[in-house]
Formats: sequence, structure tokens, C-alpha cells
Amino acid sequence: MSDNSWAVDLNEDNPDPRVACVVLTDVSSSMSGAPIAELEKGFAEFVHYLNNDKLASKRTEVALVTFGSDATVLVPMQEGRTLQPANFVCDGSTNMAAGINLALDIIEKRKKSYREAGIAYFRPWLIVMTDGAPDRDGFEAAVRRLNEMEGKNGVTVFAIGVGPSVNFETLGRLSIIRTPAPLAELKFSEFFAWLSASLSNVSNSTPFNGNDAEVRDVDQVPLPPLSGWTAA
Amino acid sequence: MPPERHADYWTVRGASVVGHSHLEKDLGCDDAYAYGTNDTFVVAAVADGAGSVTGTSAWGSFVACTSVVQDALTPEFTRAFDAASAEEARDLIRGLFAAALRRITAQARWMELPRSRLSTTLAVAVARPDLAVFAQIGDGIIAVESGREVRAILAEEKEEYANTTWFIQSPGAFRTAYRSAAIGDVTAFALSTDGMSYKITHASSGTAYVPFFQTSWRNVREGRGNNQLATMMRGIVEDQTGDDKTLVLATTGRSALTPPPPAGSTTTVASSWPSSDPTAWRPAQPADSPALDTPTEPDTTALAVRPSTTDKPERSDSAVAGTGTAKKARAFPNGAWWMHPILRKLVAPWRV
Repeated sequence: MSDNSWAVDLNEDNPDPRVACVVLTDVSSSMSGAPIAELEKGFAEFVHYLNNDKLASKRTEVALVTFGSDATVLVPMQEGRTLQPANFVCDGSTNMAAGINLALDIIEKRKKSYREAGIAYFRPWLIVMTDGAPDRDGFEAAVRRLNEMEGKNGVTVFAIGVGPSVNFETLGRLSIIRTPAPLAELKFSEFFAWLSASLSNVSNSTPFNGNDAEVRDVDQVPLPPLSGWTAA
Repeated sequence: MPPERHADYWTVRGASVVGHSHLEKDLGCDDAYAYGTNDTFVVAAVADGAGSVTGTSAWGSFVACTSVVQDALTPEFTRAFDAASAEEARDLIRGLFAAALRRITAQARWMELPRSRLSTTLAVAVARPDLAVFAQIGDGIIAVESGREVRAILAEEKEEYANTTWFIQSPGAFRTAYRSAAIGDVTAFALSTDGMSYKITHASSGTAYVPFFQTSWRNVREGRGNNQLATMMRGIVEDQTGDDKTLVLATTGRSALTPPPPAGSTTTVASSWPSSDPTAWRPAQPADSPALDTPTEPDTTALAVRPSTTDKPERSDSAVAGTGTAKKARAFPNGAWWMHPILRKLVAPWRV
């Protein structure tokens, strides 16, 4: 450095902003066979991407929650760089309500820890994938809680229907903003590639207005087209 | 008492550089800055065009900054500011914001776009020797040196999420998000857009990372220029945002290395420049509609920035010095120059 260069001290200690994502997926017995194999493969590719994308590996945090008769945290919330592929086991009915509640608990807890640590964060994402209709028990209350959180901009919800037996009317109730998207054939790989690119866009996004009705049509982070994986 | 005439009272430096994420996507710089001095008076502005409307928002940020500087450098404004109490001075700055919004509205109309496509933040400093007033809407960073203390002021209270802020055209922005402060005995100040925030503040609290500002002002006082400032800013690769970066630094006192102001004038002014043709963003006209030979004129005359093929400034390099120059060549595709009519009058004494 010559004497004439502009030398400054920069702060190198600020943590990166985060985007948390919960992948909530149906592992009821009807998912067994090809669907679960493709889901497992797609998730492994998602993990590979997040392990290797320089920014997303630090900024994207993912938890994997499954629901059959019960809800289970298959992969606890963690940074993309430490994420590992998971083995899915199919069993039981479709207790989506337990899954939704568990996922929302995880999101709320994560936000709290971000705030306590002084880490900036983007709106968390919840991906819900199912191939049928949810059990009735607790479903109304879970949907109310989810809709309320989405209505307060607390979470971004994407509902994905897998296969021919999906009840889209019920699935459509999960989001008050987005209609559910049917997964074309078993294109889990394509879906997770889209999810990787989308989370990467969010985690690398620059400010948009959070208060301006005038810019609603142009706000939010632009996401890649859905055409690679949805049949809609 | 402040000196009666003190042409070199403030030394100001400024630069905008294109963010890495913008470069990767072949986007231009949406940030802008402008500053000017006149005797013991200084005005500076930085603005960050919304990333969600990249390209067009560069015109919002540019018009906001140049509007503030040209209004503040009028004799009427400087006289009023010199005589103002702290409270009156804050009202005067609010007037600069209101005029900037009117010009953005006119510019949007001329570009045939909704005003939200020119969404921009705005941070402004106006100072005389014994009083400095700062104001902003949005998430810019303002730091001041007063006495021996260095601190960030008027930081935005963040919404919950990292990627939201207020723009000056947001409904209710002047009522809800406009903040201003009057401070005495300011010996240096800095305005920055949020692209630098992770490197120059403590992100969790929004407080100033003091060593950055101390070393930055030292560079100004030691006489380093806008090009060196821009080089330093371009060199920050791991900025944790990828966003455009803009910095304006002002200090009292002048280094022996700094050239004296040009004879016969004490007014200096500099600004960044958008990299796109403002007419290129117009929506396509339906085939059966009349050709758009004469653009729709805004109600307020002489407010919009229009293309001109005849008004190329004599010293064009100076006119864009220290700006998002990575895209400069593309800015004027046909050798045409766009020049703000009132800014044009100020070009003569360029001293950058």
C-alpha cells in the first residue's frame, strides 16, 4: 500500500443476517415407495447446494420436520453449512396439525434467539408438503395459528401437493396469500433446486419497503420461476 | 463567532460504487450522492434506490440528492440557514425533503412510471460552523464528530426483518419515518447508505464503529481524494451485503495538500450519476397509439431530468467523478448527456 492510498479500519465482527426455513413434510404411509425415495433424494441435493453456496451456507438455516401419526424433528434448525442428508421413514396417518405447530414453535424460537443475539434476519419460510388430506384432530386450531402468523408477516408459507390424492381445498387453507402448488410428477429434485435458489436470493437481498402499499406490486425478493417443478 | 469568510472551512469527499451482487447480475448502481459547499456552508446528501425496483430507483436517488444540494446552495436558502435557530434550521431541512419528493414525482411522471418505481431513501446534512442539521428517511448511516466524541445518530428503528426500510415516497413516511437532529460544534460528519452498514457500525445496536470514522476523516484531513475513496470502497469484497456502497465524508480544516478553491468562486458541487438512460424505462406504447415525440411535461416546470444532446458539460470527467463509474461508459449510449437543468448552472466551478 502506498502512502497515498485510503486506509481505514473496518468492523469485521458483525454476524451475517439469517433466513430460517422449516421443511415440513408428510411421511404418512401413503408416501412410501417412490415418493419418499424422491423426497429423500431431493432433500440430499438441497443439502449439497446449501453446503457449497458461499453465502447461503452461512445465512440459510434449515430444520426438517416430518409428520405421520406424530410430528418429529428429523433435522434440528441449523446453518446450511452443517446440514446433512436425512433418512425418511413412512408410517401412520397425516397429523399435519402437529407438524404445523411444531414447525411454528421452531420458527418462533429461532426468531427469539436471533433477537437475543442481535442478528438481523429475513422473514422465515415454511414449506409444507403432503400427498393427502390432513387428520381432523387439531387441524382448525393449527391453521388459525398459521394464518395469523402469516397475516402478521411472521412467516412465508408455501404449500405443495404431491400426487393425485391431495385435497387442494384443504391445503389451500394453509396460506392466506399463496395458492398451493401441485408438484409435477415427483419432481422433488427440481423443487429443492428452486428452494435453494430462492433462499439464496432472499439471503442476499437488498432492502425493499415493508410499509408501502404503493410498492406492493414490486416488493419482495424476486424468486425464480416455478415452472421447473409445478404442474400448475 | 464563526469567521466572516472562510472559503476552505469544509473539505468534502464522496463516492458511490456498484455492489458485488449488482455486478454479478449486470445491474447498475442504485445509490447516489451529491454535495456542495459555499464559504462556511456545506450540504451533503446520500440516497439508496430500492433494490426491488433497481435501475429506475437510481433515478429516484439521483434526483433526491441533486434536488437537495441545488436547493440548499441557493443564496436564499444559505442566508436563511445562516440566520436560523436550531429549530428553524430543522424546518428548513424538512423543506428540502419535501422539494426532493416533488422533483421525484415530476421525474416519475416524465419517465411515465409510477412514483414507487423511483423509491429511494434519503439522508441529508446541512451545516454552518456552529450548527449542523441532519435528517433522514430510511436506513442510511449518519455519524458525527462533536467535541471529542464520535457517534452514529438517527439510526432507523428496524422493522422486524433485515430487508425492509422506509422510502421518502412511502405513504406516511414524513409523518412516521422522518427524523432530524440539530447538533452544535460538529467538526466532521459522514453519510452512508446501508451497503456499508456491516463494516462501519455494530450491526446489532446500530452504533458507530468508531475506528472506521476516525480513520476515514483522517484520510480527508490528509488530503486524499474521491478516487482513492472509491478505490478503498471497491476493495471491500466481503461486505456481507453485496449492496451498492456510498459514502460522503466532510471535515473542518483543510490539508495543505488540498488544492485551493478556484479563483472568483467559492461554490463547489459534486454528484454521482445514474448509469441508465431515463427514457429507456418507459412502458412500451401500444402500436395504435400516437408516437411519443414530445414527452408529457410535468406540471412543475424544469424539475425533471431530461435528455439533452447539447448540454455536455465542459469538464465531463469532473461531473461524474467518484461515482458508480463501473457503468459510466454505458450511461450515455449515443454520446448524449443528461443534465439536471439547475445542476447545470452549478457545473462551472467543479472542484472535485
